Amino acid sequence: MRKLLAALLALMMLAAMPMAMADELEMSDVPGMTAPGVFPIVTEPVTLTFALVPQGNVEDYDTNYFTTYIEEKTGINVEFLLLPAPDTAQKFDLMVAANEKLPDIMMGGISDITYYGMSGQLVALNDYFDKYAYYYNEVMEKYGTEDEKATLKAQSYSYDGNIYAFNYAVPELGNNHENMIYVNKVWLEKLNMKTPTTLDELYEVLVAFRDKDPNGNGLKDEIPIIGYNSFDRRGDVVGDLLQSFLYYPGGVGADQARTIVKDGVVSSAVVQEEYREGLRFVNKLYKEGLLTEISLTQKDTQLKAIIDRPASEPTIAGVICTHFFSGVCGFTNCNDEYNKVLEYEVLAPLAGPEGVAYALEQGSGFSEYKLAITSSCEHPEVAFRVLDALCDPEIGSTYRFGIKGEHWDWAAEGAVTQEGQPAMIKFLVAEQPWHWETQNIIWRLTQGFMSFSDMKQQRADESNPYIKYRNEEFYRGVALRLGAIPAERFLNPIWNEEEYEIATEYGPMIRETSNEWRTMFVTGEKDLDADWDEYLTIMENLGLSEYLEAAQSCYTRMAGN
Amino acid sequence: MHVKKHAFVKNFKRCWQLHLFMLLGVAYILIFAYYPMAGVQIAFKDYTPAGGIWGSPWVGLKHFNKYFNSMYFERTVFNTLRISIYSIVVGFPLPIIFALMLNLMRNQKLKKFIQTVTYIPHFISVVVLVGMMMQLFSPVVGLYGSLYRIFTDGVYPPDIYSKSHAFIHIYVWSGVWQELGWGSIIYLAALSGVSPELHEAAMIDGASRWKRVWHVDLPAILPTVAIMLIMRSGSVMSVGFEKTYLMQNGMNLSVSEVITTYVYKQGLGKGVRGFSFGSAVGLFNSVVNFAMLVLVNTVTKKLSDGNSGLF
Repeated sequence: MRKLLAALLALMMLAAMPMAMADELEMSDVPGMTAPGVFPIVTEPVTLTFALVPQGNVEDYDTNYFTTYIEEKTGINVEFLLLPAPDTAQKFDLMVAANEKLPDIMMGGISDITYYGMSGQLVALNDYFDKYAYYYNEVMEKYGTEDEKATLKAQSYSYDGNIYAFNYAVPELGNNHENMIYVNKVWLEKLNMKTPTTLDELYEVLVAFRDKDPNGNGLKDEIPIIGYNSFDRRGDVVGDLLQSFLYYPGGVGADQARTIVKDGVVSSAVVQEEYREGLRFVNKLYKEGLLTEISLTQKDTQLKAIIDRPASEPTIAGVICTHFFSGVCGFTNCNDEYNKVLEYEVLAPLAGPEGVAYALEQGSGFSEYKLAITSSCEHPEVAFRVLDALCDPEIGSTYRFGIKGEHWDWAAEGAVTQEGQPAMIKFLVAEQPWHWETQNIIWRLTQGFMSFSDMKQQRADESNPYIKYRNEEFYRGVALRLGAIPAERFLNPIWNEEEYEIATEYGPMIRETSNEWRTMFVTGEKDLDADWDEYLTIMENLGLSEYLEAAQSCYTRMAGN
Repeated sequence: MHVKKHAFVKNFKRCWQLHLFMLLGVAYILIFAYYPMAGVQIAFKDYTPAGGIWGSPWVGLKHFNKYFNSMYFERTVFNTLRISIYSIVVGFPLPIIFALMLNLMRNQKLKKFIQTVTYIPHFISVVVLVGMMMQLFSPVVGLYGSLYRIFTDGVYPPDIYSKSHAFIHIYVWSGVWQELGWGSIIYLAALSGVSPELHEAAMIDGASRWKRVWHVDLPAILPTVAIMLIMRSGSVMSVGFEKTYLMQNGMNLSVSEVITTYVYKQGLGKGVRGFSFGSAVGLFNSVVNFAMLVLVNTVTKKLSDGNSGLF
């Protein structure tokens, strides 16, 4: 017995020792590291490996302007590990599974930050924030609103109280509402109709588009309304129309059951009576040939081929649901031969029969842009300070927009953005390096940049009339959507272990099955009257109640934070 | 027994060089096929990155039960079998018929030409193939749509990809188009081994061309056919992952979700916590494949009196 006890004690000590040593090592200062907020960060070079998904228009990360800029500024030596797209997160999963040496900094690409944090692959950053955060605090204090600060905080902590990733706030309105509905105003004019503001008006417009040959070529080749096969983000016509009946969460931060919140009580959007009414409306459009069926099957690039076509060909799309200036599904040709963009104007959120008019929130900008430091990193404090440095408005803007004085500069006093808010930065070039076909100036990543509401950008004068029109129209649409989301939302849930089990056990099936039924209801394969009860039963059997119970406790905890 | 062992040692000594050659292949199989099989154990464990393959806790049949009890079990197994059996029924005899027909051709140049034209599609990558089909069959911008609209005053044709019942036909017949020529090569090779004397003898006996195909050519390639069939049935549960996955969309999921795509989505698509579940489904799949292989092998052996089995 005594022997056993001794052995046990020895074992415990053995287990505790490396942990204690690790603790000490982690927080010891690297020789040559300067005080927080001072550049360079290190006087003797430290090599850090950044893992990122290479972006199409970047020529070479090693010779990139920002790479040399940050190396000079901070004194570190930057190396890259390029992650595969689209199955980015798998790379990290597999590297961990194979026990490989991890890159120092993961710029996105982690499937589950809390999980990897708690199982030891990511460094807990709480102490680093206390000891080394400088620009982060400065920017938070100076530019973040109280609401933004609270949201950022709630979205940073895992349920065990640790911060496992550096959380950047990018609440950019344009990104939050990148998908909008546009209508062909030339056709409207020709048919002598006004821009629809309600669903009923939209319906009449669509019928007219179908029947009255608005493009005037004598053929019935008009497509009244079109999007592409998507369930959550851009191109999802059905999801966008549903917003006129109830708030239908679907962006990056939405949970699996599309949970909505009313007076602190959660429920799922996909079993609401309003949801059913919404689908009834979409089904009507589908049945009458107004919503084309390829919207449910085609890819983004096929939509682009249909809308962004040469001027010599007739316009065939009446109402489109897309991201106006995305390269894959929007208008990017923009020259005299490709001028269809001028025919479209953005619609405000359409009022449904009960006057509901929400807009889909693509992302809140608060939890999507996380960078993590891995356990393989030898100098996590240096890595942390580099991440902290990215919060500095000047470094951050260089990171995101390009060379200061060439692509951007500080805005003049009193300048305003396109959404009508005070501007902090003004762009010096009409098309930023971000949108260029090739560039070697920025890394072009969404992660690692702070942009609170008070740090907005003023756009440069645009000389290309097509691009000018397109951008203005886009931002007008964004402005029309301000405030069109409910204040209470269940965003980026941070589950605790128990809730997580339930959420991952039931969540994916709830999402997949409800999506599948949504399509069947739209196409009429399932009837909204005869089969609705069966649908509700199936959702219940998939564990919706259990899921919502977990969601409720998660929401209550996060709201209390 | 003793004599046998002795003979083996003697044999080994006599031609050890040959065995040395074999070592490479054996090592390859041991390292890359047998050793990784140890990883199958994570199907019975709750895999965590910290514990790794050997250190994660055992959970017994938890993942299997989860799969068997989910609605996806029935669906994925049914879809897999449906697509697979349809592919075999259509895709297996066609290359044989094609090879027999090609073999009958007198014009050698034309024969070679047809053979080349039909096997070239085999080299098109699946991704490109699916992309081509999407383009061709697009009702608005594709060839299919353009042709259709000549006759309909510009009204668009129905979208083939949105019809779930069309999925399996597109899948199988595009496969036939791609693999017909390639699949017939092995039969052509077997046919070229048929002794001309047999044909001459049959001709003297007054056999027609058809009779010669039936009584000379076909029996000659039957062993090859049997082996090909056994091999094919060993993969009855493995419907080509890439093509199915690429052809999936919101409207055909109920017929296009097969075991392999499901394993991918659950095992890799859901991150590290899905590894165990994905492995369990994958293991189930392999076990069924193995059982099918043994079954068909036994049946073939019985039917051919032990002449054409794999083992």
